[in-house]
Amino acid sequence: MTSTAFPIHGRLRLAALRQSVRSLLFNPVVVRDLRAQMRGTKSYWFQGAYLLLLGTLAVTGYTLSTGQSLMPRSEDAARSTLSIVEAQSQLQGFYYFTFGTLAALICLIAPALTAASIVGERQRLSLDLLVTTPLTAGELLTGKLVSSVAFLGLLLTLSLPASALCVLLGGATLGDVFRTYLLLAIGGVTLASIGLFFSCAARTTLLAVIWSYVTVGIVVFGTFCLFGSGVRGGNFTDPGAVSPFTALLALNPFVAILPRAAQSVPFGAFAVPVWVLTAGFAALIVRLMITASAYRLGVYGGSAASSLRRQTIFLLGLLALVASQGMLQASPLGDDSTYGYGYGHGMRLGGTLAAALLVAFLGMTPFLPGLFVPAAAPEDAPPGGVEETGVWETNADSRAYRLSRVFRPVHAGALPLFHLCLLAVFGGAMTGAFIAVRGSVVPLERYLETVLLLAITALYLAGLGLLFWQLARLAACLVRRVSGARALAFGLFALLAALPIMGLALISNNSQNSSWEDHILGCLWLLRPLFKLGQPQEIVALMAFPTAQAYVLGGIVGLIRGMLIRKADRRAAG
Amino acid sequence: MNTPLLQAEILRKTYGPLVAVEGISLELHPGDIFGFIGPNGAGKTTTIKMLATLLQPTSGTATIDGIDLIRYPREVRPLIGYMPDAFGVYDDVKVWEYLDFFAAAYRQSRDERTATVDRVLELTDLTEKRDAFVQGLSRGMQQRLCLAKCLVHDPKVLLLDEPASGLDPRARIVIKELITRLGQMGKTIIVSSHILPELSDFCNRIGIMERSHLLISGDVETIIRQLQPTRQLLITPLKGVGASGPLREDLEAMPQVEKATVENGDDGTVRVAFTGGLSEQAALLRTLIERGHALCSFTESAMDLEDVFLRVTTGRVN
Ligand SMILES: Nc1ncnc2c1ncn2[C@@H]1O[C@H](COP(=O)(O)OP(=O)(O)O)[C@@H](O)[C@H]1O
Ligand SMILES: [Mg+2]
Repeated sequence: MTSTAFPIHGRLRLAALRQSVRSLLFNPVVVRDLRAQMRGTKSYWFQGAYLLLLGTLAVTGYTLSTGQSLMPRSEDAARSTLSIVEAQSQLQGFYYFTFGTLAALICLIAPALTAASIVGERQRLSLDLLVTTPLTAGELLTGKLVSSVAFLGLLLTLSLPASALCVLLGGATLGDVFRTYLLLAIGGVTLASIGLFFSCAARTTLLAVIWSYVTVGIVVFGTFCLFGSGVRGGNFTDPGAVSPFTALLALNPFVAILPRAAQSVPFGAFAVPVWVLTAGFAALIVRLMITASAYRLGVYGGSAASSLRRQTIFLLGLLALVASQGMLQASPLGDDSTYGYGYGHGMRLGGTLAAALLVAFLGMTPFLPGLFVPAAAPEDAPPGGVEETGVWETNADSRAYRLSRVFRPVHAGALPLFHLCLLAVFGGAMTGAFIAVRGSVVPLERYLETVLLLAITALYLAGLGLLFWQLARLAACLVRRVSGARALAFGLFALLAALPIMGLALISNNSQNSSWEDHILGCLWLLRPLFKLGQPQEIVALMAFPTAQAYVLGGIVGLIRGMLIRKADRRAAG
Repeated sequence: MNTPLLQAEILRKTYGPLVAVEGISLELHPGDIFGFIGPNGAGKTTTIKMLATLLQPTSGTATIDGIDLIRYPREVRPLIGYMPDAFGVYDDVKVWEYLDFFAAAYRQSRDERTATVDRVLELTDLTEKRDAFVQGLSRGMQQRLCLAKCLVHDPKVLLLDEPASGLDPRARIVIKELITRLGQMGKTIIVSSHILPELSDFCNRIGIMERSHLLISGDVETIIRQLQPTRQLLITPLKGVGASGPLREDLEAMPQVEKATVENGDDGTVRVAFTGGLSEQAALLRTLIERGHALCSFTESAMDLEDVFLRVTTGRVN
């Protein structure tokens, strides 16, 4: 029984499936947590306060959006002779108010529900008791997620009276409300899984809550902006065309309440409702978050690392595919000048994707030191203990770059992982772009141009990754504490990337004719292509030099590191 | 005794430059109660956590019931019951629910669980607290509840980290009786403590740890014999200090007496280092009486664990 595979990375064998079902339905953690949750008086107070809040908000919202009180007095009745259209839009306003409030509540409550779960056990000193049982990390985490989500379901149910008002008054149909609730619940589970991850990663409950809110805030805001930039004319309530990307974005509760989330996505002859796709994406993301949590939980005997890596690569590829297809579909193609509103604003096909890639890379840089700085024993970092960099132990076997180690949490697999992720994103984006342009009248050379641009971008990013990796290894030689080495690696990279700006600024002061980034020496600047994405014709030429530079610099840093290690070895021997 | 149930070889754990546990080797058989003694910070908790599959050893091997616990921690977990030195309980959970949860975590069916909960409540004498809330129990009862939790799956090995710390004397006695009973049931038990008398009554094997080293380990009699090759006899003359001078001189002249010294105090007791066995001891007593010494007491001073502890440790703490 206990030897069955970890359910979240077992393949889809029957036993694994059965275990997954059991970890969802017959999970002891769920039973215990629900018992405790439903018991305390805290819970009643909370539910009461929540109902009161919702009621107040509903009445306020109704009054605000329709200008009427719910119980009209006689003088109100006199002037309540509205046109049908006006009344319709007012009721819609009420619908958005109610469901917007609900979406905001979910964003606020869902991550907080799980953020305390694991770190709470850790602080209460009861986690060890759970770890020594045959419960797998996956079961434990699934249990925590399910019990939190059950609470979320309760809150959604309690809000039914407020949304029933929408149906009664005619602002929405019962089907709308039902579908929206489903999407909100799916989004809530996904946000809760983010809280669960930080609950495993953070040291205190407060930190876990803060990190969860910051991340959820960024994700919700970012995906809403992505959604918004795909909406032409800024008319959010317009039920425009949808793609799988819309379904992905509908994980955001604020997108879930919009009419687009009620559409269906055409797949050839079939039309799949958005919520079905959303549920699929949610399942993949939640599974990834649970695996990541299991990895951070660091229960020894688990093998979350390789599963986490596989899932990350797969999900990155899928997201790139869906996003590029959706973004390109939303913006008209084949026009060289401007595209009006939409993703393609002022850029050509590939420029958008390249920009997205580069921005994603910059967003990832704070996390790269964690991947690249080699720790002596990655699986077994005690919470609160001092981690050491393990680079000095240079046994001949541990070659630095091994594709075969890509799924293992060892140093030799770090850069291969980065490169494989890049490859997945590149492949996904290209496939997505191909699907998007297949139906439209885009000339072939435009598509090939895009492929070339993206390939060069990927090559450039691979070079930046290599440079970052070499810097991380150098930092690990200079500083023994892992946290210090990580900070140093990030600092070195930032310095290399940002320092030339000052020099360039000085030069350009003398030559008044152009801005400093256009100066001929500007191509010395590593990150320059980032700022040239508006002009995709130039970008290929501009990227060539920084790309070469990244590889050469990476090589030089590697040589310096080798010299340092040899010197230390000689000192140790002599 | 055949193969050991628990075997550890040169288990070592380091945290960066700090060595928490340095090369510990152990062998325990069914029914052994191993007392693990050492001052705070000696590395007892770290050792127990390694055996409980919570910490991965830096090096060394350990097996429980023949299963390598470093390579197959998940297979070993059902064999051990672990009680941490500090643990928390959940709010708003009843005693039987708490135990039911752990039984479910060990994959027991609903019917099995009911029987299990009754069994362990009975064993730990908590039956009347069945429906009490866990957070409302006294510290001693919580400690017993945790022990009950360790027993739901009837493990072969119990790892108890300071089970009696922070308890009042009565609760301490209850826990000690419980552990003794579990030992009689044939479980292999490791009990740690920084206070020696807690363990001296019921352990048949002890290990003394200090500053990450296991200084000595083995069964209690062997250790005492190792540390004390000569027996100590205490002989008190009837007439007190006045009579102890001639008594001491007579004793010094006897064959198997290494040394005789007059103890401090006014009863004039003479301490004798004696190399002979029990029959020689009887002969010694007869000779003394034949020579006309009036004795009111003739006893062997047994060296207890306390003395062993003081002899072995240096009193330094890391
Ligand atoms: N997570 C950790 N990180 C760093 N040092 C630790 C950690 N856990 C324990 N230690 C150190 O290991 C040593 C042994 O601790 P411990 O096993 O708890 O001792 P004991 O249980 O005998 O009191 C102590 O010096 C302690 O400071
Ligand atoms: Mg301890």
